[in-house]
Amino acid sequence: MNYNHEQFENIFAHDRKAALSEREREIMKDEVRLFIVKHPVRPSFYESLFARLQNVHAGLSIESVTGPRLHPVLAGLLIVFVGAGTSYAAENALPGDALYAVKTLVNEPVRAALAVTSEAKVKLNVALAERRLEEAGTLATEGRLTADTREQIEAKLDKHVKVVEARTSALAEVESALAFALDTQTTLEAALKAHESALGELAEMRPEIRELPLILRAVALQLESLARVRSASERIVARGDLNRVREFAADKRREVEAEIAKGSGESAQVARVAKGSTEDAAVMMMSAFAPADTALISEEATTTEEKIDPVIEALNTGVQKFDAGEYGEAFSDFQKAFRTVQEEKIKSSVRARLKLEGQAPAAALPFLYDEEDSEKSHEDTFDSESDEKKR
Amino acid sequence: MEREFLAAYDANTDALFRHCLARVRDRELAKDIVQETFTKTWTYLADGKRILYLRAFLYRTLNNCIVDVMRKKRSVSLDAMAEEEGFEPEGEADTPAEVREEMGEAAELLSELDDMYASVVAMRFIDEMRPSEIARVLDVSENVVSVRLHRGIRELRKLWEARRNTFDAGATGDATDKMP
Repeated sequence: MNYNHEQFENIFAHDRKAALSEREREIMKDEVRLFIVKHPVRPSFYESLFARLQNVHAGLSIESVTGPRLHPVLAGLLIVFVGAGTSYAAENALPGDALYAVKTLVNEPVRAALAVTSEAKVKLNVALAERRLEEAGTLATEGRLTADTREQIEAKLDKHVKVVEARTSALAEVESALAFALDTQTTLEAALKAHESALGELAEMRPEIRELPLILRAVALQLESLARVRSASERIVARGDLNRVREFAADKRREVEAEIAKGSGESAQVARVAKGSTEDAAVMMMSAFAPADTALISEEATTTEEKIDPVIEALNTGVQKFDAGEYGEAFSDFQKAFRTVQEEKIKSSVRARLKLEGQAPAAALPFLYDEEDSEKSHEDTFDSESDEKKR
Repeated sequence: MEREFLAAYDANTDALFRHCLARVRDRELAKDIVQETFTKTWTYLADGKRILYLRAFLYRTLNNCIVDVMRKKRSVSLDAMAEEEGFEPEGEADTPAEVREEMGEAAELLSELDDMYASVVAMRFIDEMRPSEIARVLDVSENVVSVRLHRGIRELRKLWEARRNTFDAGATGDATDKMP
């Protein structure tokens, strides 16, 4: 063939310049606008069904009918009645959405009713507390965080945290459940802290979201009370039999080290560190932790180092105290290190979700090019480069 | 959703129009097809269906609309052709042949090219899409895209040569004495 691609570029050069006139474009857009008005978005089947259901039960919320606790049988019936589809569709609803009531008055009570043991209920409430904060973040980024939605979130968050606190404090009194209670408290605390700090960043970046500082204050209060409950549990551990405390401390230390090693692919090295001296531990931890942390937080090395410090520091202090036989204190230090690691992990995912990397928010609709950029292969890159050269 | 859709409309109308004009070679018709593309897309969205890659969806819809329109147009013009005597290939007949650039003529033949090839050629050279993008729009593999592109170019070349021959034959018929 005589035509190569470059010649074809020329053939169509004229066609590439074709454009609509300003007037043509305006007329066409008006037509489309008119069409949109005439053909409004139809509410989905489940949405309209739910709207009807709400009317039928006007004034009778599920909680007022059944009391705060939903009977499992009724829970099952509700699923059938309301329809699994609505229930599923409601999972991603936010305060202010039509389906949010399904999510918090049907889905979540159903899950609570199905969570029979105290442990399951606690775990569920930890997850739900996190969920409320995720909702807050999403609403804030979408500009939908109003006084109303904020109050809903705060009230529900308070309820979930209270449940976790009450149940874990009770569980902490039982020897066999103590570790679980403490772990759960630690997890929730780390999650709240992670959300607090990510939302704090968002509040700084976008001071126009007025409700955000108020949510942050509410989270800070929850954190205070949670920290009190958690230290009470830690004291229970420290009061126990020395061998038992030693076991607790050693377990927690292993957990911290495992967390640090995770993702860095240098678990062997870390394992050796556990046996080595404290000084070596610090140096090797740094090397083992750095790559994992960079991947997690994806920030510059300097910032990463600042973030490692509290973990390594707490771990080192813990190791020193552990070697000195002060297992109770060592345990609290390992706990602190563990919390910090968890917090960073959750925070990085929250930050990613809130798109907090100093980037402008992504376009509302994903166009071909947006997505292409991220998955551009080397071949494509080469291709586009050579294309540019041709032009 | 309305606002997002209108934003998408602003962002894509020109590109779709260019693509469509290159394919159908009729400004008013191209405008109609672009409008139809957007109204169809809106109807799809308003029914509660999801679109993952709007741009790809728009091109796919546009392509379908073009194919529909061209099918009707071709059957009509074939009928008309059979009735009329001395059919000559349509084009800007009043433009002197010398003024028309060879290349421009070839581009015009895009409307006569098989739709399967025309869509790929237009996406590649009018919209300047990468083969990977075209593959996504048409929901075929990149290999298929490059094969169609290659064949499309070959067909276009054939059409162009055929047309030149007719044209030359016509020109020589008018001025036989000038020819050796």
